Amino acid sequence: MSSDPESFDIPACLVQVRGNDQAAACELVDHLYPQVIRIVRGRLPRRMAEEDMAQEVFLKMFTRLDQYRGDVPFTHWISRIAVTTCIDELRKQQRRPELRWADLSEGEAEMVQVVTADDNAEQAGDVLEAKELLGKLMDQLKPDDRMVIQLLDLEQKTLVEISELTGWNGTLIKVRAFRARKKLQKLLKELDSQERS
Amino acid sequence: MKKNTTALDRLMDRAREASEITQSNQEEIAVPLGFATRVVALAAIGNARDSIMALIERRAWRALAMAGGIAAVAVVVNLQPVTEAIEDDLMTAHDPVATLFDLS
Repeated sequence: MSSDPESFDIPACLVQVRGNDQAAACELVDHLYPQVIRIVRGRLPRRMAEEDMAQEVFLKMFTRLDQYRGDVPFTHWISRIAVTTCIDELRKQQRRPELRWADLSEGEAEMVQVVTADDNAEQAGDVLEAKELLGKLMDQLKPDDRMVIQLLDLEQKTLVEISELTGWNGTLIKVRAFRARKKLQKLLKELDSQERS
Repeated sequence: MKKNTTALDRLMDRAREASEITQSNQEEIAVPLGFATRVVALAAIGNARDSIMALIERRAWRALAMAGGIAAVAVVVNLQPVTEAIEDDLMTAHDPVATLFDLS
């Protein structure tokens, strides 16, 4: 079987994997690894290595392989497993204690000041600090709400795409997004008021 | 049109920018050496363990059913002699007159 990602024949490989062909199983893992790792990155719980998470995803894939009927492309199916595994792992992890001003790094504290400033002009500040700060704020959310913000606002996926990945309907996604944004705004405001006081 | 109305929107715009930068830096994703082999081996161990557990479970139910059947047959076969023996014992053991004469 060709290892070229473009010409990789997934259905043929699946037939071999179902026939306990370990070499084909290895090829399948190698082929899907970049896709799985892209999904896992950014949705990773704290203190968990992305490789461990990817391993969890692939183990689930092999366990549930008999359930795959070919109704959707295999890559969609594995993406959904990856997203639900991330949500399960986020649920397992204990919620971070309340985020305080003192928990922020210097750059993150500066970023709070920058984004809470009233003007809309181009502002200074490292974008990586913004990502770190948002990550800390998102750690305060429920896993499902966090996932919605990640997919909808950061990765800018459509409701249909999120629905395919998570199995949630459009209304539920909108409700979760609304609730999560409200909570994030409140947290950001609290941090700002702590800084002012 | 007014853009970036809230602090959260501004923060998210910047975080998105950071994600785009890090994504473009990580275009090439290489599979760690031995990763696929390890995963496939773990999956095989998991499947083997599951099938052994399923086999034990199936055998355990069969053994339980057989043990129940043997117990029922044993009760049916031995019930009458056992009850007769108990009745005989009771008749001799609790006859106060016989006990009195034996003592005198």
